[in-house]
Amino acid sequence: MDCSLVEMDDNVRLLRLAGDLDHSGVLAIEAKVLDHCGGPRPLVLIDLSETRFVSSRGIHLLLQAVRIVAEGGGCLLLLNPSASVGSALEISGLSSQGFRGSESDAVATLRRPRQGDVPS
Amino acid sequence: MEPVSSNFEIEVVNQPAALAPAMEQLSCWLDGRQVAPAAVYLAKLALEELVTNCIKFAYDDEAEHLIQLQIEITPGGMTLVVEDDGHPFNPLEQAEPDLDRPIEERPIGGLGLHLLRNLSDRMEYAWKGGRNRVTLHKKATA
Repeated sequence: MDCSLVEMDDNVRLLRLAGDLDHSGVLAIEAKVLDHCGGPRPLVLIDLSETRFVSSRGIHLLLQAVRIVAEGGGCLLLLNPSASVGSALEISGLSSQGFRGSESDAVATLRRPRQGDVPS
Repeated sequence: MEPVSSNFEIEVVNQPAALAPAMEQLSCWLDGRQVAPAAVYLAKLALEELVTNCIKFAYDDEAEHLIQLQIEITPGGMTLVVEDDGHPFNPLEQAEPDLDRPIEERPIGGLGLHLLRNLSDRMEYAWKGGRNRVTLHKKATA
């Protein structure tokens, strides 16, 4: 399992996860993924287009990431999962975090003001 | 699915370190078969979830136990059986996770069996001869 980070121009962190997000895959990348979900108002994209498999251990990692980002007042999207991975996310109640489309469209969605945001 | 019947069998020691090589062996075998992506996913999920549950919860002693995984692929679909000699445990009696709660408030646990129930076409459990036997079916067209 590989995890690479791209710091995008507009303060968005893009994490690309490639391989199987199973027990050993999670052990390999867990710390790195969660490290990049912290801080104030984090905007995080997790690209799952190269993720072939997600077990419940992988789902728990994604849930943890969503929770940490939410605690910081930020937003997280799961980008372009395969059909099989998308089914597992949907069955696990994570479909609301899913996004299909281009990275730029996903970034625009991340930056869109949400309910409860205070205008600056 | 395969034009003819094809079988896979592996015994996994009840140690966490045994899971990764077993997954590697299963993935290699699946790569050489004509198997639908959904069936490949289910086979890997069954190995990870059911064997992990056995390793974590099935045994009180320090002895070595073997957990068996058998897969049969036919033109009609895939049948997968996991057997262990641990405590009786019926996965069909486990409560479904509460997915209506907000993500931030959801308790951890129960997702693995929930995934298996929903991604297979049928899931069965039997306790026979002092062994747990979980069987999953996936139709070729599903």
